[in-house]
Amino acid sequence: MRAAVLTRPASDLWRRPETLLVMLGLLLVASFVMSLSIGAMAIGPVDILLSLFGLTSDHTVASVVMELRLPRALMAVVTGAALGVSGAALQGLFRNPLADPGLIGVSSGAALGAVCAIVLGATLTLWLPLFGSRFLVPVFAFAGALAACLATQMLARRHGSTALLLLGGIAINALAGAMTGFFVYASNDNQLRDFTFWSMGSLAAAGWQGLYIAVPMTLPALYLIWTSARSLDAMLLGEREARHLGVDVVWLKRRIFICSALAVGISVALCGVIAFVGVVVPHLVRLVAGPAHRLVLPGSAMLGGALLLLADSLARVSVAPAELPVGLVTAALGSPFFIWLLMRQRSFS
Amino acid sequence: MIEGRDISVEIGRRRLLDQINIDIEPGRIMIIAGPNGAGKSTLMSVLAGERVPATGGVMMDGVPLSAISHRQLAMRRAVLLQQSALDFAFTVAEVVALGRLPHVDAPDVADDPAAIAQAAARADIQHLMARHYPTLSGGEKQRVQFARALAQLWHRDGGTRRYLFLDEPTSALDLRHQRLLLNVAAALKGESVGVLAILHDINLAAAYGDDLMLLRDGRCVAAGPVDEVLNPVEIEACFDLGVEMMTSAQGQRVFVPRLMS
Amino acid sequence: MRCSLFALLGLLLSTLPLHAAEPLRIVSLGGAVTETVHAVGAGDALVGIDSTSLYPADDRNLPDVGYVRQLAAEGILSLRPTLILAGPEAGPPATLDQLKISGVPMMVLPSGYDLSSVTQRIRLIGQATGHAAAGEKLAADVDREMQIVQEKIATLTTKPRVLFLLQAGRGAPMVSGGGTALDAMIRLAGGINAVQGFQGYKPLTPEALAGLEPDYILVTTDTSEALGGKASLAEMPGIKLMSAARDGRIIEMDALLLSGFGPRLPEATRLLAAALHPDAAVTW
Repeated sequence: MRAAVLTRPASDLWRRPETLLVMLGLLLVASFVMSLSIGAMAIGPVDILLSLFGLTSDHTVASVVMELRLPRALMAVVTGAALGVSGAALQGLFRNPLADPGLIGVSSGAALGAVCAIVLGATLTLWLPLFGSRFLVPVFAFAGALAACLATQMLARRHGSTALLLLGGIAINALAGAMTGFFVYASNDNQLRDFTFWSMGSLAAAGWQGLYIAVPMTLPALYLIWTSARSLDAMLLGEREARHLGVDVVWLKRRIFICSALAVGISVALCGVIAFVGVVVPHLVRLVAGPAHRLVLPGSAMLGGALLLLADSLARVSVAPAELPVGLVTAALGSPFFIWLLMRQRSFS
Repeated sequence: MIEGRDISVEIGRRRLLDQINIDIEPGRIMIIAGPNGAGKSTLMSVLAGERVPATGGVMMDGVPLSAISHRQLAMRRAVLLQQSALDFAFTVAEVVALGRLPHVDAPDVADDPAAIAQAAARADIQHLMARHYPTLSGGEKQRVQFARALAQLWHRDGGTRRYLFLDEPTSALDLRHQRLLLNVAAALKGESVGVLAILHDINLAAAYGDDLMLLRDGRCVAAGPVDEVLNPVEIEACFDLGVEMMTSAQGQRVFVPRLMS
Repeated sequence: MRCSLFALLGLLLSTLPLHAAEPLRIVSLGGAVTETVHAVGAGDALVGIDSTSLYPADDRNLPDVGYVRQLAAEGILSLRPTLILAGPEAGPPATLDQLKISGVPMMVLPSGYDLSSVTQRIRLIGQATGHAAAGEKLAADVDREMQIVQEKIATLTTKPRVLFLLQAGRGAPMVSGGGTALDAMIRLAGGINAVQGFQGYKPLTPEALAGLEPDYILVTTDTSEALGGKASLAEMPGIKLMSAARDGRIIEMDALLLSGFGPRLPEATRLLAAALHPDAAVTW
């Protein structure tokens, strides 16, 4: 597959790193405030502020703001950042702007883990009473995500070639998909529904507990990816070129791979599969900022967070008092963009 | 000096290189020539530390390549590969700046702008600096990559021994830029840079090379100073092509192929 | 499992303020729960239901908080309930946790596909909604009606073998094994589950299906409609080979009535039993 040639406005103001990052930062803050402000329950800005500082007497309002909206918004930021940064880094590593975190097996592995936990739930809680039933799906999804990534990595390790990593990802995705299919087949109506909803992604379950796990795992992983920004730039020239520029390519690949697997793995485990953020976000940033990773990575973190906040807000209010799975919203918004991308690409090749 | 000793490379049962000995000395240009599939690029990749030979080894200034970190190696040796497929919209300036990557935390990081400016001037790409790399022509791309390699090698202290590997650096260049590029390589000789270049054009080799190695089927057909090695007999032995040697009005030796029957 | 549910229930009940001065606002999560709320006379207090609450039908005007297994907390809380009644199927657990934290009184009803579970759920819902007496009466009614139906069933000499098809459109049809609501329902109605030897719902190949030779095929109205009626159902691979299909011994029943295990349990049992024993000399 040939990568798309991307052009971008050469205006200097936009090329200035500060300008772009400040704008994205403002967008992120605005989305965050909006996400806190709207929802199925009508809560005025004053009440939201009072709730945030623990000054409201309405217990329901306080718990909606503090226990539902705030952790959920934070989780959207963390997850969006994880998907955006991992997507950007993997696109750099594979030198393919259409690469997606799912490519390394993380989503399909998590899906396998999740469906396994959902279908075998009752039996598994008997064996593993340690995890309460509600932790079963996230724990299994995370284990599945890491196992699939590890298998992909092991397939490619012998030669360390990127093409093999890509093929390994495809093979592992197919295998995990087949095994998932097996569980889906053996599932009953309710389990099938549970899994279908899981695979559409949702931030509804986001709570402080999840954040206590997600933040300490995601932030260091994203930071480590960020410190590799220049090496990723070199990778865009080509693997051999990067090597001749002093990049330890094998080490870099392993590092990006593990960090992305961790960051995306934990987000998939807690929020299910959220499509297209990992592909679309780095693209949008690149369109404006160019491909240099010192801009693309932090830009993708902020834009990823902002987009997921907006998508989740939409998911929460569009059919209130019920809500849509957020993965449905991101896919609905992301796929037209993706099609546009593909058509653009064809015109260049 | 980069010394390659007894280098053999095999893939399966096929022997790509057979006991090659080669030296690249600072201040000299070593040319490798030979027919397609002779093993020229393979030899360069071994000398660059990219490929581990089945037998033999490579030393750089007395230290085995395997004992030098990627980064240390990259600070003293730049490689210009045959083709670089870069599809992301970096500007030319950004691509050239990537040459400074190995020097990121080094004391001479402050020299980056000077290094980039000089490299751009030498590769004659100053007017392209704001362009997006994927929009360039093949030859322009090659010059940009050359500038990147030059920026990588740039050193405030010109006396440090460094090496520049060029794999068919003129393949996409027009006549004038072929000469410009090799003039830069010749100028680098005065800055303690040893150049290793794979060239197909025997006349360019004759004009710019100090040493020449003729490869065929992974074996060294002839090696030594260009003036000694480059003659119709060796050329025919290497390429299966008869040539006539002439001397131009300026005293340059020129080889012209005989008509093939 | 059952024990822990009761413990949880006790805990929750102890925190329920049953004498709230403000008017009761109930969000009901689960089809059978909503039915029961109406049956004990608390239907007017409902402010929200889930998407499986299909009976009585006029409730569909109420705000719908979504699918019962995939609820979101804020939507429920936005209806400002003073009581959340959650059926055993309500979930996911994370949302129930969030609802608990909100401090709105919530009752999670115990599961169980038998008469005593049904009457227990009715009593609990009666108590929670402040209609304890009505709940007691309804529970007693259900209990008595079931006794009557069961006495009639006890006189029957035949025990027909019944095959329940859960979904039969795409791929192999799913059948209900042991431990399912349908297994319990078939037994209550004086039949035998034609599928033996495994728990839960499983897809069966047409061959395995054909070998079952049930006396009756039982489907929900939804399944039957999705397939284009009884006639098309009888033409399906595997099913076509059964004498029950050839002779038209296919029973359709409303899904919620059949598997809800709510206050309409006696009615459901009576209807199913009558369909399973058409020749019996019993006045149902």
